[in-house]
Amino acid sequence: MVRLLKRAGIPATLLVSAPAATGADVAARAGGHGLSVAIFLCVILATVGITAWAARRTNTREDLYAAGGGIGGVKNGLALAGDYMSAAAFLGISSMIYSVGFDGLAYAVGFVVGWPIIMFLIAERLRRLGRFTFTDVLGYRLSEKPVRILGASSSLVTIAFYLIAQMVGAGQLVRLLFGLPYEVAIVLVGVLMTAYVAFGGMLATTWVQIVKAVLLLGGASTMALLVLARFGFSYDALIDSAVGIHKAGDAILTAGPMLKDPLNAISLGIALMFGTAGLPHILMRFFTVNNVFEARKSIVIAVSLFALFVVLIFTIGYGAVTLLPGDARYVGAEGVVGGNNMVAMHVADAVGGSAFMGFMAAVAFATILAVVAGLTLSGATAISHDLYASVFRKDRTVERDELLIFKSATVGIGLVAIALGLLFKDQNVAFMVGLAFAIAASANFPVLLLAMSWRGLTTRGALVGGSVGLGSAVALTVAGPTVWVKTLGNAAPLFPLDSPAIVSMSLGFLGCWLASVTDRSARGDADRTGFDRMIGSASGPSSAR
Amino acid sequence: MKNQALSFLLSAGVCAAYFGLLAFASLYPEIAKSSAIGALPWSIVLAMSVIVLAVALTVLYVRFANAADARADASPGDAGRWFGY
Repeated sequence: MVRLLKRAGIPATLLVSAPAATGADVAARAGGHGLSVAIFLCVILATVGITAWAARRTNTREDLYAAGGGIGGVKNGLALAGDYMSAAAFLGISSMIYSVGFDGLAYAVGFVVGWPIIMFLIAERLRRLGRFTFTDVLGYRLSEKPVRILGASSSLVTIAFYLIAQMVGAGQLVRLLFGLPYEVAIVLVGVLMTAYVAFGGMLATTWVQIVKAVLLLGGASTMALLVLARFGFSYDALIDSAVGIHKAGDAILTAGPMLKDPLNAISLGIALMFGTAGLPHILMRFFTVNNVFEARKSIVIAVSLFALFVVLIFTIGYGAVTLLPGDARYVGAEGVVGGNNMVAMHVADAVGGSAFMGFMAAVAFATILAVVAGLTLSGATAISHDLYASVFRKDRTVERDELLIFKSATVGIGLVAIALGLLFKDQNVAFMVGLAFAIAASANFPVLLLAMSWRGLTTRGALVGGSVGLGSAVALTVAGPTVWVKTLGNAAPLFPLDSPAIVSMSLGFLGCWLASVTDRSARGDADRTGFDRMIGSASGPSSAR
Repeated sequence: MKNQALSFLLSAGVCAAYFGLLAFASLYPEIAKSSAIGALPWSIVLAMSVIVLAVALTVLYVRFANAADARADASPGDAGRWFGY
């Protein structure tokens, strides 16, 4: 492998430090191929070029946070879909379908059905009422200082958990695919994402996301077509073959381990559906379009592309069931070579050869970069806009200072992300994405939805509901089987469900309602009146910026 | 606020479809894996149907909402606007 990598032009100092032999085999096929290294470098050069181009067009707060509001609906839809088509979704769901079949598909459908919820309940009102972040909407009618602190805090906590999972995944993936040491991969990803966001702001982040979405959809479509070609373009033949080969037989066509317990399945479904509507980096994108029409159009594009993506992953996952077993290059005595997350990469190799696998590896790297950049942008905006400009420097904000704080926050988040990526090396962090969705569904979604649609919500209700949702999501995740038993090694969980959303989101709504209806304060009355004022002042034409 | 009830109704419909799929696969695994169309089982057919439903409802909603708002923007006042704000 070392010889192959050297032949491909990778410096000896960047060669893999001590990967498992199986992982080294994967790197030899992906990273060792000259084409994949060339594409890998092209991805970095292209994204840096985009950042340089965007930096020249990013001068104001509006540019930095919302790309000047000049992103069209189609482009924003591509970027939204790109935010969701993460490496975790591409590699993780195909791996899940390969391992347990239908559970993986049901999991992926949960992501799709989150989009209509955003459309019906959140997007258009958010676009009319907000400016840069979802906490703008809360500050519109509620006491600004406390709700901004609450919104920014829950945003940062959500982003932190999401970012840790992405960084650790990035380090492991780049090590496996390109043979780079884990630490080098983490620093590389951290430096690149910081550069995109600090210099190019939302414009660079959006275009990086668009490029990656096009590459990923193109690559996955090609892979799925090549898989189907093996079966005469017949899903019947594909499914028949998968059932015949998988050790679980036709059990891969129905509820597996994840769905066996209906309550657990529905709780996870709640986190996926409603968590989408509370993720700060997704919500921020609705401020990059010119008006409500474009915001709606962008959701149509996003849900259509993500639905296509799920169908492609479904094809690739069941294709993996039929194509990988029996070939020692892909499945050894200890399971999938390089780990289960390499299933999609092995399928790329099986149907398109090592050059195609190298291409998909480079696309996976671009995917990681784009997603962590979106998260970093959202976190830095929470610090500079929600906390610094709106809470600490209220009415005394100088735009130049706010931009400086944004860039400093971006660098700070980049450094923290690198540190956390190194700290959590070799830790099981898979639960953190689920936790991020549970927090978004339990803390952000109830408060945001009620602030925009229920006159009775008061500041006290928002604070109680948001805090209870945030606290219960974290506490119940820690007490659940994934962390309490599998990570901390205890005998039995304190809370029976893997995903706490069915309880924590209900507690979030209950907290908002109970603390609001019992609020007899003058502030509560002002909050209720503020709802009428909010509707009145935001009733301009839909075509208005 | 016009159409807020419709928004909640549509959201409830999407929830019912998805959670119905999860409950069906979980409670009736034998039926879920039985053949629906050729070799395709009910579980996969229903999962794909939920995806199609989610996309179709979003597209229809956006068509109606954008058409209503375009009409409202073209005439004085905000009467007829999709959400009224």
